[in-house]
Amino acid sequence: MDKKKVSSVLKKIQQLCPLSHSGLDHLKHIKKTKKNEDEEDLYCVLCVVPEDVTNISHFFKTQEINNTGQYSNVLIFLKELQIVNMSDFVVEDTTSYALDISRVPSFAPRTHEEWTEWNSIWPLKPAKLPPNIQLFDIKTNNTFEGEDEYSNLKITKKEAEAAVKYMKMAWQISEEARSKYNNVVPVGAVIVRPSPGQSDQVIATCFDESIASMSPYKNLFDSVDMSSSPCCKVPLESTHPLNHATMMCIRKVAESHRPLFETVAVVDGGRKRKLVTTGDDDKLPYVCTDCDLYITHEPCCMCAMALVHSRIRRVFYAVRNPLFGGLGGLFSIHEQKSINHRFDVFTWDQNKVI
Amino acid sequence: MNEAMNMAKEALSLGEVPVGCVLVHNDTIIGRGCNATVRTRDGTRHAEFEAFDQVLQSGHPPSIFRECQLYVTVEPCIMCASALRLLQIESVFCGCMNDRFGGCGSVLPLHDCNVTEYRPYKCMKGTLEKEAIDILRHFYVQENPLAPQPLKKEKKRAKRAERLNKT
Repeated sequence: MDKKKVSSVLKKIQQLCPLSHSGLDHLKHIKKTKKNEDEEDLYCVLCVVPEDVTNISHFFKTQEINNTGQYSNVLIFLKELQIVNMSDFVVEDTTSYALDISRVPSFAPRTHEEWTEWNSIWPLKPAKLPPNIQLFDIKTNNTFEGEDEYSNLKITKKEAEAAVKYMKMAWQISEEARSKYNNVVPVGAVIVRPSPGQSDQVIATCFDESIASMSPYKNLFDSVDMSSSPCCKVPLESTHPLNHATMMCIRKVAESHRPLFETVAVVDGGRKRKLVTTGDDDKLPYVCTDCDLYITHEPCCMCAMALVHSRIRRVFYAVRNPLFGGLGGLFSIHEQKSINHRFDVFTWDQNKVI
Repeated sequence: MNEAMNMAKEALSLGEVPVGCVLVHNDTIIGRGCNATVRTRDGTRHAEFEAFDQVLQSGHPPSIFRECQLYVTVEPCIMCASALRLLQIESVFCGCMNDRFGGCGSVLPLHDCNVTEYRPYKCMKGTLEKEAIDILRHFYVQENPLAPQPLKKEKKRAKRAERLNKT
C-alpha cells in the first residue's frame, strides 16, 4: 500500500465524514489488518449506521446518525484504496470497494482496561487517559506495586502519588494544546517546587510551541493526532523551531526569578564581580534547584541538557522518545559522569503507557 | 572566528562566562551571541541560543540554518549541539574543547550520532584555541557568584586549573 496515498485519502475522508460529528472522536479513522506478508487491508470509518439497517448501499444514500449503547455500528469500506477515486465520493457502484458494517466503541474509554479491550475491536486514538500509576526507576528497572517496593526507590509513596497528580496535569496541558491548535506537537510539561511542610508550588506549566515539522517529538504522534482538524482548531503562530515544552518551562521559571535581582554582576576593575540583589541572599533560587519536572514525553537531548544547566532535581516522564530522547531514549545525559549535575529520572512502565 | 572572540570579550565585560559565537550565511554574519546566563537568570541562555534568536527575530526563516556555519569560541555543550542538529546546521567551527559539557565529541557525539531524521554536521576544532582558553582561564580565576556553593570548592578549583593547564 502506498503510504502517501493513504494520507491523501485520509484527508479527504476526514473532510467528508468527520468523526467528531458522530461523537466518535476517540476512534482512529483507519484500521489496518494484515492480509499477508506484503498486503494490508484498510478499513475506514464513514458514518454511524442504525442497528436495524440491512441494505447498506441504500442506507448510504439516505444516511442518518444514531449512537447508543456501548458499541455503535459504523459503515466501513475496505480494499484497495488506490483504485478508489475519492474526489467523486458517491457510493453508486460498490464493485471497486466493499462496504461493510462494523462494531466500534461508542464512547471514549475511561480506563486502561477498556482502552486495551476496545482497541482490539477498533484502533483508538492514544492517550486521553492519564498514564498508568506504576512507576519505575529507569536506572534499576525496579517496578513497584506493593508498599515495600518503594524502599528500593528514591521516592516515597506520598511522592509517587503526587507525581501521578502532576503527571495528569501535564497530560491536561497537552490535551489543551491538542484541542486548541492543529499544528503543535501536544507535549505538556509542569515544573513543581516542593516546599516541605507546605503545599507544593506549581511554578510553570507550558506546552510545546515549536514548529512541529522540525520537532524531534513529532514521531511520537500520528499525523492524525496533530492535524485532525475540527474547524475550531487554529494554527499556532510559532516561528521558533526550538521552543519545546521543557525550554518554555525553564524560561518561565527564569523570568519569574529575574525581578529578585536588581543588578547582576557588576565588574569591578575587571577582577571582582559584585552581585546586587533585592532579596535575602540565602533564599534566592538558583534556576530550577530543588524543582521537579513532569512531562508527558521524554525530553529530547537538547531539553535534557537544558535541565542539567537548570539544576533540576528530578524528572518524571511518561512516553519514551527513542529517536532523540536525552533521558534514556537515545542517550542518558542525566547519568554522564563528566557532567557536574546528575538527577533522578522516573518513568512509567512503557508497556502500560498509552 | 575573530568576531566570535569579540563576542566572548563582550561577555567577559558583562560578567558572563566568556563564550561568543557568530552565525554566517553566504559570508555574511546574520547573528551574533554571547553567553547571557547570568544576566537572564536562565542557565540555558548560551551564546548559540542568543544568536539563533537574533537570526529568527530579524525575520529569517528557520530553514536558513541549513545553509549556515557557526563560529564559536568553545565547543557547543550537549544542549547547543543537539539544537544545532535539530536546526540541521551546515558546519561548526570551534576554538577549544569542552571536556565537561561538550556535545561535539568530548562527552557525547551529538554532531554525528545516528539520528536519521536530522543530518549530521561537521565540527572543526582548534581555530584560535589558545585565545579561547586564555579568556576562559581569565574568567575562572574569578568565580561565579550565582552558582550554588559546591561542596569541595578548593579541590574543584585545583582540578580545573590542572585541566586547563593540560589543554
